[in-house]
Amino acid sequence: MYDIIVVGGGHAGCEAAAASAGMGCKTLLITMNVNSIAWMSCNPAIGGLAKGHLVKEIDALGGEMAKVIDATGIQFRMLNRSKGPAVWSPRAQADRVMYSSEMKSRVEKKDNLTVEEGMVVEILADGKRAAGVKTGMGIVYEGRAVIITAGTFLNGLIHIGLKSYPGGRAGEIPSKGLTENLNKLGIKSKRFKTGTPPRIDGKTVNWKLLTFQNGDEIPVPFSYQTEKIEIVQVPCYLTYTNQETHNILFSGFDRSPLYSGVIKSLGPRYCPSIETKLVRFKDKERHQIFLEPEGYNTSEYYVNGFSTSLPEDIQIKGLGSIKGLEEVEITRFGYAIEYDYFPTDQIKLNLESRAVENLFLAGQINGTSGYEEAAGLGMMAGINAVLKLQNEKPFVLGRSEAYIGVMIDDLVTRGTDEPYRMFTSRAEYRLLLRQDNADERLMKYGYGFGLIPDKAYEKMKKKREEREKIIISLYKKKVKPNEINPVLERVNSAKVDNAVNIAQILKRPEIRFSDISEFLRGDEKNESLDSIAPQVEMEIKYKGYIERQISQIERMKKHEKKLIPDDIDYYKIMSISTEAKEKLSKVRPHSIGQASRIPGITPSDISVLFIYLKKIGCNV
Amino acid sequence: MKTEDTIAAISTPMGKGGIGIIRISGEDAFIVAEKVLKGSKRISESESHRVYHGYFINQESGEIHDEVMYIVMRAPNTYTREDMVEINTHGGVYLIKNLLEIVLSKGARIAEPGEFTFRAFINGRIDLTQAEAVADLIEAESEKVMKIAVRQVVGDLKSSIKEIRDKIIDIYSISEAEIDFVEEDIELEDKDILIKRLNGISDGIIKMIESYKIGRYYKDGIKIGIYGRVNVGKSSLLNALIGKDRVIVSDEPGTTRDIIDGEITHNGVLLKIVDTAGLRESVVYVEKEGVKRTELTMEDSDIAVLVIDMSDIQPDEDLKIYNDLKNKFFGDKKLFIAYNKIDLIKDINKFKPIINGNEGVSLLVSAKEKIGIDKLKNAFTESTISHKSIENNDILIVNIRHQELLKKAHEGIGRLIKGYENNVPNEFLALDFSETIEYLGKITGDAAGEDLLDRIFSKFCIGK
Repeated sequence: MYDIIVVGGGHAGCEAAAASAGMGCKTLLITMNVNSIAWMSCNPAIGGLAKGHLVKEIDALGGEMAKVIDATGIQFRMLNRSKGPAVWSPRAQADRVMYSSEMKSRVEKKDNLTVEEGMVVEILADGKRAAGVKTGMGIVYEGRAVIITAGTFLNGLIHIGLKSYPGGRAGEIPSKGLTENLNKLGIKSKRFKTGTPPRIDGKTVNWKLLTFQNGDEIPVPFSYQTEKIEIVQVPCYLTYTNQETHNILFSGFDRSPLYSGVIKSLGPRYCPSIETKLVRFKDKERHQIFLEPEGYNTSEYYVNGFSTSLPEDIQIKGLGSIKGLEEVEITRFGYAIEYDYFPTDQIKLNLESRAVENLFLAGQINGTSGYEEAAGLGMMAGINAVLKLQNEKPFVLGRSEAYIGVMIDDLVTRGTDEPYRMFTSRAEYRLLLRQDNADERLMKYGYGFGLIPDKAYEKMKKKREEREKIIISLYKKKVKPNEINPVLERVNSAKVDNAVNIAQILKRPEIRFSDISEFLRGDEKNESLDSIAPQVEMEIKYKGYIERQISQIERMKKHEKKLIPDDIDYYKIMSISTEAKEKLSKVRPHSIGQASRIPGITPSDISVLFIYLKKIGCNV
Repeated sequence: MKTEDTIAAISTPMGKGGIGIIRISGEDAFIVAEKVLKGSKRISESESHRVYHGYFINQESGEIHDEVMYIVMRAPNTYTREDMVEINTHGGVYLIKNLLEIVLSKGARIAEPGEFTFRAFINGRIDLTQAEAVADLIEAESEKVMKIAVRQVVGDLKSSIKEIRDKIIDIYSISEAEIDFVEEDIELEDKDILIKRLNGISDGIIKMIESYKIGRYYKDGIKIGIYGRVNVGKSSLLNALIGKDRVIVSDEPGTTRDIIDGEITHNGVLLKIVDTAGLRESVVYVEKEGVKRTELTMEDSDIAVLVIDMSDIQPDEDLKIYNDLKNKFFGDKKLFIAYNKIDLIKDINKFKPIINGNEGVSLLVSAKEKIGIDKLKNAFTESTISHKSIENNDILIVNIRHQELLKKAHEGIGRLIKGYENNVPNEFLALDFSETIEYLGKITGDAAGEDLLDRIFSKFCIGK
């Protein structure tokens, strides 16, 4: 008898199982193939814009992803460095095989955690409460809560050209039967589509013709607990498609599953196939292609930007028309995959199914895409499943607290009609949700759950204190004109006539932290100064903006505090539209704030709801 | 306001008129109407939106109160989207009030001001802008405002604001694409071009803000204060302007103790004229009070008319008042000098104005003989409305809430332009983008966030 059973060993499943075990629950991770734990189905990279934020947040909560990529990353880059620190985002190329085996070994080593191979076909439910799982071989595992993290494997159907075959990922069988079982339990499913580009043999690439792109000189780790990146870094390569490539690809459109009507489900707009890019942006003369290494011990490269499900002969000819790839050999063809997901109006903010108690859904089956999104959901499902068994309050992160909070609120409240990916623009309070302060925002929770060691927690507190100290002294400490004017002159900034505090100087657009750091007293200069400088600079330079953001959050929180009773009958409210009644009944928002974020709910509906709540005696 | 009971009100203005309309709206509208109307068919069986002939009766006594026409309208195709009955009665304050009393005694409640519109809004029949426009329509004091309000009901203001909002979202999406898709091969617009586009938007908003000045004149009328020392003919001028004897005119100094309004419509605009007590120190308490209130009117008035007696010029006193007024009336507040009693001047060529022509518009008038009065009225409307080249199709803002929100949006655009000029990173600009978009959304009722990502994806080829 297990406390918690996690079905699926991908990025969501690993985090869910590790969190559950880490919080002391007897946990089973059951997966169709133990050798492909945490396997990256698509590009061999972790992080990127907004996704990097998610990885840092998972790490601050005590998750695994950041530590695994730190140990197996072969090219680290901080994106958006030319902009402010709020939108910096770490990204790293991973060695695909090393990443998988590192995660496998970390998961296997956990106390309370058992890993087993098997295909779950049935969720055992005791009434409307999950009680265990049954595999295709008829083996039954009993558990008090079940977390499903099946990724793209549920009834996966792979397309290349007009051919298609069942598969959860190229070369792996799909999971059959589980969707139908969940349907029977009252959970509806839909289909999404996604795709992946071909992999090529690096030996057949003419590297001399390509531009290369190196990572950062000093790689910055993802995890707050990693001291340093030890692995030797390798480059990626850049090339472009051309008119000939486009002509070749167009010539295969009659055999494209996307454009011949074979695939009907929707794919993500931000990760379109090369076919879609050609159709939607006809005027673009070329599209960029990145060749990303699959790892150290392989000559395979991932052709980023060339996701396709065109037939094999077109893929070969198309790639062959690209500069540097004239002689290229494809090792694995690109393909499209259709799979089942469960629309997220069927789960609560703690990721628990509304239909079946103690059944949690996490990862790509929630209609998301991306390893980081999946891991974030897995982490939250793991924690919440444990809290549920302990009769504790659900752990729900607010939109002003974390990207993870934004993601889950978006999914549950707004739903998604394409695979959901995180973007910084989805986070309306992103000035405060930075990759550099995820520890200050979230470690207190991870620590509370017992997933963050004392040492890491103390380190965070110390960093925070140091930063606060420096900011105070920047405001306090004054510099005399004869001290500061030479610095100002050097950067073409207006000179001062009287002594001013350093913060005032730093507020000037042309002044950087490095220009004034020499004026800090010795005891304020320390090793960690470099790492906190960007934060300090931002907090002083854009104080006005940050304060405005904080007051926005306070306003928002007022609406979040206006609670709507669970048992409210929206059909009793006469004066809102039928559409609004349906939507509100489906989402069952817990607050006026959440209700106002439901798409299609108008301000007018909200005023009516507000009046109704007052009338029935709610304290709103 | 509650929205589930049945309301009734007289929806025609009170006063002598040929006809008066009582409106009933709500779930029990038909039940209430059934109790007071007797026609060829039962109310509940009447055809919707058809005029019926019948009698307004007292059910108990069978007494007939009035012969009426009535219309039964079934939800949801009604103004409030509720069941409604409209009863056309004979006018007359006493009769119609009496009929309403009877309706109210049969289960309806008196509607609060604007409640029919409120229900139309709550029930999704009209959006916020339209609801506001209806309120403006009800309050409209001139024909022009009515036209503006009607246009808002139809949705003109809304579409103009939406257009501006759309342009801002467009630039916002470029700014956001620069953050989230830095890895992509997308072509972004030059900063200078964006600033230029923002300036264009800013100009458009300013035009709308400015239009409020005119819109307000049309809606609330132009307030005109008449100033001058004692006995120069201020009250006579007021009388001449409004064309009837509303103020007691006396030769005794200081009889105009209260601020008295005279109203007249000129060129389709309401002129609200305020006569003031003499601007002079007085020992009498009431006069002191009058002087104080005179000063208050200066704050309030759009136009000041300084009356100077041509036949009895007192340079010291006249100039003192002139200087007081000059300090308050400049810019959008206009100052006119009316040299009165031209009828008493024998040789006009010998008359020397005591104030230079440039410092205020001078006119020669005779309140008594009605000389120059129309010219003065034209000057009032022309100086405030006609000189501004507002095209007929331009949007006029008549609602102060819209004006305030537009001002805030304008400030937001200003911050954005400054931000771009100072190379403020995009993630900070986002704050001003989203706030500005929200302000404009509050005018149209589109407060919910537009999906920015849709815009980005439709514009840029994204995805590696």
